[in-house]
Amino acid sequence: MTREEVYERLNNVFREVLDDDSIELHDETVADDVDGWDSFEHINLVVGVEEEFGFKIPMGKVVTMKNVGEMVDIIMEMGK
Amino acid sequence: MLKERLKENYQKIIKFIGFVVFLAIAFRLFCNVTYLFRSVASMSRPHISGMKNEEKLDMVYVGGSAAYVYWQPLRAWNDCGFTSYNFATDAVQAENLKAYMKEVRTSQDPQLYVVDVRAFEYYGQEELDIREAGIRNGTDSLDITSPERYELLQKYFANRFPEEETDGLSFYLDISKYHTNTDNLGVELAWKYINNHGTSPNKGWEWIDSYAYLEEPEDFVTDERAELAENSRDLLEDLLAYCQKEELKVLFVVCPYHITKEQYAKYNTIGDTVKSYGFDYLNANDHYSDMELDFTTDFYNRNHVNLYGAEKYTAFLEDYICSNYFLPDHRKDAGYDSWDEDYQRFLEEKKGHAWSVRYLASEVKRGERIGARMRKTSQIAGWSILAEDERYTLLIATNGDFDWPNKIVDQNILAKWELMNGATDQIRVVSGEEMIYTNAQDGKKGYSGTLGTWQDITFHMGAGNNHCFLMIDDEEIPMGREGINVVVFDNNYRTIADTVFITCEDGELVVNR
Amino acid sequence: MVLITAGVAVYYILPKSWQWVELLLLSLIFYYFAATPYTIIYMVISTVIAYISTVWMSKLKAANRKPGLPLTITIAALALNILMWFVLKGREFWLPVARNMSWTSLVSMRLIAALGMGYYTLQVLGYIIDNYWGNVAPQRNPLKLFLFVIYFPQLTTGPISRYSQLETLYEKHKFQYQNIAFGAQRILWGFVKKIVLAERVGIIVSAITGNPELYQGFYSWIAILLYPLQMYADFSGCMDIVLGVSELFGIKLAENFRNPFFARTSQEFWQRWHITLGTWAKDYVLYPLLKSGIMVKFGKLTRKKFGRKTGKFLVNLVGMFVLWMVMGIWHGGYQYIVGVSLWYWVVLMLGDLLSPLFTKITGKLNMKTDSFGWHFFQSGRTYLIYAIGATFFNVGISGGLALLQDAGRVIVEKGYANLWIFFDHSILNLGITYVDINIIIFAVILLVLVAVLREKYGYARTWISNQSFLFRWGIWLGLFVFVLIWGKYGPGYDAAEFIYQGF
Repeated sequence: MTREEVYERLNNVFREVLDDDSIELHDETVADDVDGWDSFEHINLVVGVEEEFGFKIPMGKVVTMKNVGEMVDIIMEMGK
Repeated sequence: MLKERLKENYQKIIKFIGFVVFLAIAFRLFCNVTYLFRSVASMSRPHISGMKNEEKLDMVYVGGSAAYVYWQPLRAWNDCGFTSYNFATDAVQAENLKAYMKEVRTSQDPQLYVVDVRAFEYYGQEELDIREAGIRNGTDSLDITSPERYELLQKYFANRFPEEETDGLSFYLDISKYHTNTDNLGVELAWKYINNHGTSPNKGWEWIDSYAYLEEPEDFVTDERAELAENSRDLLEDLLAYCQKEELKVLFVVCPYHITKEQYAKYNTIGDTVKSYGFDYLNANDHYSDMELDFTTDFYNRNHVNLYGAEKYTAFLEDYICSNYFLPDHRKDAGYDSWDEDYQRFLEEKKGHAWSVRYLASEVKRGERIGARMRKTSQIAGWSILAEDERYTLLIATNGDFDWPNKIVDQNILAKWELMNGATDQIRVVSGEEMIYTNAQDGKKGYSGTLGTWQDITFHMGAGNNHCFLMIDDEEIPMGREGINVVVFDNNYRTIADTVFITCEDGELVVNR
Repeated sequence: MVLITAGVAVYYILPKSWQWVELLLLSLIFYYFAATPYTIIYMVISTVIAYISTVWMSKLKAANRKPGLPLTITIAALALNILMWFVLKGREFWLPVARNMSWTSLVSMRLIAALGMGYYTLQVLGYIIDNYWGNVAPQRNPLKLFLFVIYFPQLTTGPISRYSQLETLYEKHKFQYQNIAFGAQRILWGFVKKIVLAERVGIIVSAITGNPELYQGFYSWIAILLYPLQMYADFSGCMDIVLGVSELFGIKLAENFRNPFFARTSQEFWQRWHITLGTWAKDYVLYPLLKSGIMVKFGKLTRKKFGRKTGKFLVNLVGMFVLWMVMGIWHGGYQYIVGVSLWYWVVLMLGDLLSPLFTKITGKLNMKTDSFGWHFFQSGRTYLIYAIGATFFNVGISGGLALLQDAGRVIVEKGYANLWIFFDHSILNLGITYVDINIIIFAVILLVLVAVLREKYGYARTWISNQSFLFRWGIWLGLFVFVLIWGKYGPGYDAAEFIYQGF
């Protein structure tokens, strides 16, 4: 999987969970940048990512991930 | 090489200097604010902080009120020509004395010190409690930057057992206690003290306009030596050792006051200790006749002379000093003009204060005449008016029955004492206009109270079973006749002025003796 | 004060590897004077539990044996700590139940909680959980771990730090003048807030709440509306002192407050008030809960049944409830549960429900929601909401209800509004003077100034440090004298008491 592929699928997840088709994610995107991404949606997004990519993200990472870039890093690592 | 290193560190050096300067300013501010909030009502503060104004002093008198109410530096100047100063605070504690001497020596180098040793005698009479005022009169007057102040407090807290709530910090940093008194900011005198520079125009002497009648103490001289409180002895020896080490010339005195035998015995011990270190000791209570001291005119309470007594004491002591120590006579010297001017002002001031004291004395003396007239009167109206004087306390106890008078005037007299028709065993204590005690409400058959200027004479009164009794200071006073018994006690002279029993005959009150 | 100055001096003189040892010593000394010394045993127990569990877990994970065991260990360790906390600090909850048993009164008298038990327990729990998740490596030096638990500046009032934040405790700290200067300034500012402002406002509030029969009507309003100010000044002032002291040692702790009353919504409020508690609860309670299998299934169910929006709302409802209950219980009393947990749970949920409605209204009325005026209104609303909840915090459940009821009567009942109390000097009966009120107003103005500077520059003192040194010095020296004179400390002066005794 390349990073671009991950981003494509990730964008879909976000758009669906948050019900907003205008979302475009980058490495530096944080929760404050995206409308509706609060603590609760954070978990929904994580669950959505887990279902989309097919693996469980460990709880420790959920708590520490700072931006989308880190999320992508985790996905790429787990995907191997 | 060094230049380059210096240039590199230039910023750091500047910063560091700035930091130090900032701290210095902050500290200075802290001191000034502390001085600003300290009390201005204290008599002691000008004594301590006023010494900074003085130039060369030949003698310094260190102690408590036994110094600043006894020794008149300006009189000594005029009579003998040496300059002196009272470095003394109210209710001084023994811990203060050495600190005071050290503090004096930071700015002065007198040829002679006179130390008032009374603090060593009365040490520990209140169970080693805090005696806050005694200490604060010193520590709240000294500079924050004075090391003696901290030594004083250390010693003090080591010796005494403060209660749980005592905030020790507020002694060291007194701003913690006084800062809530923001009204002080509106007092002009407070701002004058902002650098803790006070002035004592009379060189540490205070006028006290007060008077009390006393009689010369008897039978107090003894050869016995009583033990001092342990801390007191240690402090005395500590002070003596210091004076010895510094090779100071010191005279230790006991001022004249209404002394008791036990106290005299303690002073004997103090005297022994002082002499054992090679210093001079003088107990002025051995010299009443030399001073021509008259207890009936020269005092204002058991522990202090009034200005007349102070004059006599000063005359006596200055004589003693001139004969035994070689202090210079500066009366003809240049540069001492201010002392002459101060002396003239002092004389002017004395007039007003002397007048006040004489007035108070004459008021007390009036009691003699009033008493004499009272004792000659058997007429109830005249008698009761005399007995109404505020100097008297009337001890009244009824014994058995008495008829109620018909005359309105007589009834008014009984009404003033709130006596009731038909009631038995009535007890009243009246002084002037004030009803101090009446057993009309509680029906008690006995009462104990105090009499005298200082309320230190106890009495017990009782009425019941056709029998009255009165004891004043363990002495029984006859009071048992039928009728209204009245004992008239003169509080100033602390004696009974008159004893009567009042009966009612033919509807009129009669005074009987 | 002296201890800290000496401590700081020694700290920078010591060889750097010994610095954390000194911090530990200082913490022990602090504990000895500030608390009942023997209660330190509870902290030691917590540390031991944490140490054993984490080291054991890491060994198991490294060897990849017994995959289920680490979880059990974690749960056991957590449970033990929580139990300790519950017994010692959660007394209000179990004592009434156990009162029937005769031995409990004896036992409960001996149970004194360790100082800062609520705070360090959370830190320990967080540490254990972090270890389980593999976010941190276990600390092998038990003394170093103990320092993490007992670090003295944050012991009594927080902030609640994560292990990763405090690992700097063990590092070497070079002397930097900036740290000393900023630390000292922060401490000074904390004193201004706490002993000049909070104590004063506290006099007013306590006088009113202490005598509810005497002070009614608008007095209740005063008490209710001033309490948040008191709370904020006190709590954030403490924080300033704590962070300032820690900064002197070069250890930067997390912020607990960020201009909370600038918040536009109550949700934002909790991101600005007691920040570390909120983030702790979010990371260690909310997220694990929401991500648990049950909650995910529940979420899917509700979304299917009620549609996306309502489904999400229901999940929020449950999640928030648990979160708030935990925060409320942590405070250690029923009044906190009502005043903080329930109240805010209801408010936040309502806010969530009604927010689309509000947006519609403001849109229709053409209100400028970006303006300062609107922001001011929102801040006021935030303040008021907090004030109501905090009433329970202050005077308990029944007291709070009574106070609020009384306040309500002012609006509802005719003639009950006693406006005259503001003009007839009766305020002075509360134990303050007009000078005091002026001081309060002045301090509040300072507070607002500093808050504005903070929003703009991150920290007011950064702005100040860029000004000329005369201005800077003037400010700091001025604040110093201000606290010296008008701070509420020391035994205080009583003119009557000071009698000069002669002999």
